Amino acid sequence: MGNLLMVRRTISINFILRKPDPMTFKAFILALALSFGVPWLLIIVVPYGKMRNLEAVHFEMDSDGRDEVYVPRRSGRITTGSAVYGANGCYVCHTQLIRASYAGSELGRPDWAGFRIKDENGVTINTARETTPYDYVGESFAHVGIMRVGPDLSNVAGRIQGYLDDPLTKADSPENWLYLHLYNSSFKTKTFNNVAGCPSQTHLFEERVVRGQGSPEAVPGINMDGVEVLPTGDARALVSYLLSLRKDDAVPYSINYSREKKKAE
Amino acid sequence: MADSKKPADSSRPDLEDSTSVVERHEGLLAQGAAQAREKQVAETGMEPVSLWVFVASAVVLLVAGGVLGAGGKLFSYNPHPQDYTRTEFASDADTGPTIGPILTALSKRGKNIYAKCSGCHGSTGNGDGNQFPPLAGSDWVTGSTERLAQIILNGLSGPIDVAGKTYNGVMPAQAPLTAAELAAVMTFVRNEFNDVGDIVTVEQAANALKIYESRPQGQITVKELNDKHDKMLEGEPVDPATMVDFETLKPAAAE
Amino acid sequence: MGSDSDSQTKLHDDMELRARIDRSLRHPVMFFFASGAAWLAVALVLGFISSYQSHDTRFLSGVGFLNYGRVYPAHVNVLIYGWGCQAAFGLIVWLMARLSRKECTCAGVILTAGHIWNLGVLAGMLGILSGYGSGKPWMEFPSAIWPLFLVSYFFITVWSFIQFRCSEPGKTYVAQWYLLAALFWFPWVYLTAHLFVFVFNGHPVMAAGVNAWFKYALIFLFFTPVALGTSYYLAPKVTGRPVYSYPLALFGFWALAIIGPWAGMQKLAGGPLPQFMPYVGAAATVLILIPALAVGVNILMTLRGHEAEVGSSPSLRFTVAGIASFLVLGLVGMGLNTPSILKMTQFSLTGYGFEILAIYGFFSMCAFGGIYFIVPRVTRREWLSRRFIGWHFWLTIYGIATVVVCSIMGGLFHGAAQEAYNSAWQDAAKISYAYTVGTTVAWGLILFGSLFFLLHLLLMWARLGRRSQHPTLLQGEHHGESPHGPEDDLDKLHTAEA
Repeated sequence: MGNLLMVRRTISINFILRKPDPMTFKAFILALALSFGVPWLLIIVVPYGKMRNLEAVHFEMDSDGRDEVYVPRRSGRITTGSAVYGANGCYVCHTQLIRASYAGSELGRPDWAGFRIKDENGVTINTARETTPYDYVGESFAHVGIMRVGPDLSNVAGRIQGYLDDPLTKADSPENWLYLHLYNSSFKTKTFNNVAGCPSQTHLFEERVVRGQGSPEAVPGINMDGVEVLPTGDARALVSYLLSLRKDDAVPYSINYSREKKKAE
Repeated sequence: MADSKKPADSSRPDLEDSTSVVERHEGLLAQGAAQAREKQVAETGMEPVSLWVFVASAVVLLVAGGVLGAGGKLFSYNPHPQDYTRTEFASDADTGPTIGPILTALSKRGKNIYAKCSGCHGSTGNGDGNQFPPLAGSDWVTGSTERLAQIILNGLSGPIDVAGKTYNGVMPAQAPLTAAELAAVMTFVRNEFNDVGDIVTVEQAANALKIYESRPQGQITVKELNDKHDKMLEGEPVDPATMVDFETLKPAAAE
Repeated sequence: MGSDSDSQTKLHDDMELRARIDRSLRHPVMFFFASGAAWLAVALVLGFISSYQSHDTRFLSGVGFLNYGRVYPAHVNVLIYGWGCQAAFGLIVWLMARLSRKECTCAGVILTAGHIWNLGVLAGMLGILSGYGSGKPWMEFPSAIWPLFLVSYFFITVWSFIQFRCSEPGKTYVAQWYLLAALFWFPWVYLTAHLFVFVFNGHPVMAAGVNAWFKYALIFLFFTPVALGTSYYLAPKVTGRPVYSYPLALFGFWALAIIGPWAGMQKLAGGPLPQFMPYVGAAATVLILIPALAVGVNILMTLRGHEAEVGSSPSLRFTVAGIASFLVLGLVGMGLNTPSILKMTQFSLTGYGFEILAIYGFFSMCAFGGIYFIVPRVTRREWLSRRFIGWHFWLTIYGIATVVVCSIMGGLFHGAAQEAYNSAWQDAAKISYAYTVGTTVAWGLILFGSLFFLLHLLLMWARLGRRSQHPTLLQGEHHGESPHGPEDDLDKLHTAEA
């Protein structure tokens, strides 16, 4: 141990006696440019460029039984709705990312990553899958989200169908379920009272005194004396966007990571 | 910039700067007392880097290396590792005892597999009375195991008599199945919809697979079944009450 | 005799130069500090509101512009751009001028650019609260504003760079390395993030990835070096001792430069990005502990033996608190980014706790240390009240500690409950309740403490500080007439001179 200290002192004394020349300014800037530029290239610029030209994946005849390009389809007002989603901060509490099973367990949570449905042979299958790079169609920025105060929304459109079957629900259509949820999240069901649920987005609605029979566009199920609630354009766009969120479609064999995947014969 | 100077000594009007240090100091205090009391530091110390800093840095590097290891192959553009398959997330429906008789173990697994058969043969194994024959009370199920195995693996085409009725449908092949899966579903249909009372072992199912592979592809017919396959599968019989671990199907002591 | 008076004259010339530098900068520096402190108060009010709403959604609900989804982004953006960046600009401008020993001749330009920056923050905050936020975390100001910020930044900081280049050749202080690096990194980071997210049409997931990288790049490559530069200036300056170790300072600086740019993408772990990118980000965040250790050892060893000064000097107290927070940040970063923990914390409260620890616990404490040092020099007045400083300090410390414990620990529990996929989702939400309440209490403490700071700073800005040679120290003997030393002693000098 003593020898080690001696060695350390000797090295340090040499260092003191031979104080290294400070870097020139040019060398300093060059070193900074390199130490920043290399990661900048490797994790920002090159991946960005590569992902802009992401090659499509194909369904192949021998493994999927058909020969076509995989094109996830979404319908609805995705661009506008995505902007309203961002402007109202929905991404602060909701995520839209189903992680692979080595990085998280939302694949196991029922109805988050997919659903148990019967396929064409009447067999119950679980359509749960991870998010692929081909999801987020029609958006310029994937609203991956910050926290999960509320549930993940990747497959919310599918879940809402299930909620409509709940005998306690007051909504009669997916749009109306969402309008009720956004207006006041405790209005959706007859009993559930929600202190720490989704905050009321009343600014997305217009409250108007009922005239005559009332407007056909009013959200049904809101009991306010003589006042009806109409969704604004932002609300319609947002609901249209949310109802397009379903990411459990079948993907080609090459990006299917399911344990049970089988090649179509 | 500098304040305008007045002659410091009225007897010598050319002299603008004060020669008095004290006066100058007081003048500076008026301008910047805080600056005046500041300490001056020029050199940086040259203490050597402590060994402990290196040791701690090495520990942190090790941890970071472990984290990086989870990232798969560096600079590969795959979002997931090549050998990634989704973990099975057991839902609550799957919980239950984990050790029990091998008959229960196989039947439980067989029930899950049977789910895709129930579309045609019915959830109670009664068929639909028209196109798809019942499995309950069918001696094709309760009879020789090799016949049943070949029906399952190859599918069936052509007419077949079941429980006094002729069915003329087409059954698709259910292969590929693993030996464990085949053993399980056979045990299930023989015991759930009938009460044969014995099990089809994994070894027997493996032998059935060998026979399947040695046969040309394509659905099997009743004639071929009766001619070639009307016998019990070869393999060591196992007592259905043997206690096994449900996961591995290996014998285990009861808890 | 001659050399004595020569050295005295040199000393006096030096004092005069420093006083002139401070005078030349007084308007921009005080503007940045005062407006930064005002935005800090706004950010803390918004933070308190958003934290309260996170556990009680009925609070101020029904008011569109106080909706949680708008208040939270407004809070974060005003904290970063309104307070953080402006405090950083004030520190950079003053420190670079002093370290280059050059007066500032473009104070007017800097002041104008600072006003434009403020207008941008105001417009941005109002934009977010009115529903025009961009929806990209830490970049939520409406997308037309960011070029204004970049131009304003250029006009604020280019003079510091020119001063450095025109300064007399000689040694470069450690503080200058950090400040030059911050000046170099900020535009590159800012421009990259905003171009790639707002301007270029890229893949949506990669845009989210660049956004996640921007968050940590801003923390580690702008706020961290400015805070470290300030600490490396203050610790030797106030104590009169040289920085403990040059090799260690070198090691710490280059460790930060090499590690910092990789961090950030761990927000998308398990997602559709190339797998190495999030885990490289997580590894880099773990590695930040290395420069934190180096800087911590260096600065704390510089101050060793001077505990009395650390106790009495406001600047040193805040600096030590900031450096200690940096060490805690490094440890927390290491703990939170191992893959098994990352699974749980990726989408829980811990991310917020980490960011607040970095921006408030570390950067802001070091910035307060700098502000408590610089303002007397620039206004030629001493701080009015050691009590105000003391209350600011202790309330902030308690608040930060509570935020760290509640957000980070609470987030761990929250995340663990999220991962229990067989339990109902409401169970995970319920677990975070207590911790969000704790975070709200912490914000209340911090808000209260910063009100003392804002009031004190505004009084100094209004030229109401003490005119005295004797600084306001946090500990010291009581004098008969006043707590700090004989008052009006400067005025007595004046009358003597006249």
